[in-house]
Amino acid sequence: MPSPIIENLKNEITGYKREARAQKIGKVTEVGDGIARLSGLSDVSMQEMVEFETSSGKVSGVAFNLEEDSVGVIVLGDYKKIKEGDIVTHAGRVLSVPVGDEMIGRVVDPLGNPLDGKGPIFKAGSKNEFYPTERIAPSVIARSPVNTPIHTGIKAIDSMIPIGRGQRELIIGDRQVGKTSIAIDTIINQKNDTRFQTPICIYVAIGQKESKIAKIIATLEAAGAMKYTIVVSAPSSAPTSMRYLAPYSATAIGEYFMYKGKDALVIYDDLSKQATAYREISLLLRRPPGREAYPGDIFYLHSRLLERSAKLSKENGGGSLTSLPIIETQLGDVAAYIPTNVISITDGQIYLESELFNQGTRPAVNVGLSVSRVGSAAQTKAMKKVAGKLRLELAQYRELAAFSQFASDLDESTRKTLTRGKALSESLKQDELAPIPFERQAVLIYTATNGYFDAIAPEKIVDASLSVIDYLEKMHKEKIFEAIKKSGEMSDDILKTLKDSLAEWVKMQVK
Amino acid sequence: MKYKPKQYAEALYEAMEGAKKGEEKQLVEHFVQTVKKNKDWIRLPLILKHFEKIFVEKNGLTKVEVESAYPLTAKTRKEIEGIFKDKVLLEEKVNPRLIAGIRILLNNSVFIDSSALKHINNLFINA
Repeated sequence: MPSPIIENLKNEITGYKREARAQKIGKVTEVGDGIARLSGLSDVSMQEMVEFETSSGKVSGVAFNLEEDSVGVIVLGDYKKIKEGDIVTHAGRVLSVPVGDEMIGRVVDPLGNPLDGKGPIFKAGSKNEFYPTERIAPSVIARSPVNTPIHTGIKAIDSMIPIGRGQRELIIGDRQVGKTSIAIDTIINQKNDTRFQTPICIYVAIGQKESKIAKIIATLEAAGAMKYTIVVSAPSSAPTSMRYLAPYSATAIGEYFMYKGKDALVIYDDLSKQATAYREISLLLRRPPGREAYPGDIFYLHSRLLERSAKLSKENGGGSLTSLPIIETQLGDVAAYIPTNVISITDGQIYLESELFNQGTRPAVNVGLSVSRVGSAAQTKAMKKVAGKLRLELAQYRELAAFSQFASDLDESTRKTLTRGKALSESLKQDELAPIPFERQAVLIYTATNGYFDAIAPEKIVDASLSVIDYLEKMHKEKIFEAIKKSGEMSDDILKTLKDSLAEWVKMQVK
Repeated sequence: MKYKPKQYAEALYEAMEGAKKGEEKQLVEHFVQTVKKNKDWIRLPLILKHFEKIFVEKNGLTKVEVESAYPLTAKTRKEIEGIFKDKVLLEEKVNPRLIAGIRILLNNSVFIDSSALKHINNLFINA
């Protein structure tokens, strides 16, 4: 029996057709630092993929600078393989990534290749879809106002800086103040929020340490959150082009779910590093530097990315893409170039302060400076009811706290405001990786704002809040938690039960 | 003032065009001296490249680079020149790596590869 290899070869030989096809080509004139310059290939379009035919296989790139008689290309693979004089051809498509439900639970690079060693993402032979990494954001008509909440599981955020599906909320702060923790807690909390569909979470690591990315994946895995999460990884060891592209490809993956009518949440960790990567590329391509050496279109870099987050109208499937971009500041300087840009693009910001962090307020959210411009429309009724009072009382407390440091004699009402404020800020403290479902948050905030914690020493309030939840869980789970969860409201009936049981709890504490 | 290679090439071409017969050699000498004086010696290859481009464009020629495994025969050369009605700037190169067949590059942009090397490589890619 002839072997299949011989048979194949025979077929090739007998059916051999000589064909010569003319194709447009360019030649590499210069290569280095992830950038190549070509001559020829004059009809290439912006952002089009090109292929380098090197002696050790094909390397792809993206046309990025179209000049009078040369083309600047960013190389997407190993640029060291490319030599001067190598032939470059069109790939005939714009840069795109494969998308699909199969990606859920996987770790991929910005081009959609698996990095987790779990084998190919798409089955061989399956016809998978490709989404372009750059796409025009949905128009005004295609959108609907933000109306559904996305709960982070963090008391301080869900009560005072609520986020809605389709919103863009910036997380900003110095290094090591818990920016990533907020993002990770949010992902983990999504499985608690059964009132709405669980969003597909996409975590994009840009320019991070590989060890940190590995740790995050392990944390998500341990919390059972990888079941609805995709990690797009462009660590600091990845080529600059990958760090620049990662947010765009992650958004393309998110858009796939959004246009299918699902909800998606993208976390860009962090965009300052992407801006740096883009600056690197721009300078290497000899584009003129501007402020802080960033190129002129650095604003458009982020605005076109974040504008793609949207809540689609019912006619368009009603899907949504929420984004939580992260920006790292230097010594709390929010007035630097990139932070101000992104603050102006997003629908609000969560401002983390290292001073608060060091004082032990964790999460170190500065509720005075943090805002959410559209989220309140999406906030659950129950939360809205209890949180209005919280914001006001905390603001009063902050004003008095600064002033009372100098005064020894305080009148009764001032002292009361101070105790209450202290109790409130203590009750907002929360451990890392311990997101709280919104119905419990609502109950806790009700407890704190109505003075049930006033008599407790500030350092014991964190324990007390745990004990309240535990008590109510055991005694009135159905009547309180389940009821709030189901209706999203804090009706009079629920309120009455809550009041009675809190009174019982206080009695127990006294004993 | 620094001149760009393209500007050198344009100036040289225009000067050559206006030159009388027999003056060309002197002109080239002057040109080389000017380039040397301006310390643009290192950019000479680039200038020549631009010059060639201008020359090809202005004379309505087609630049044909032929790469073959064996030297072209006079007949093949004639055939190629015939296709372009003699308006051609033919450059030949022998590259034994091709094994057989030829590769043609037109005007630095259109490429026709009909070498045995390409076909053998394709066999491996499609296998």
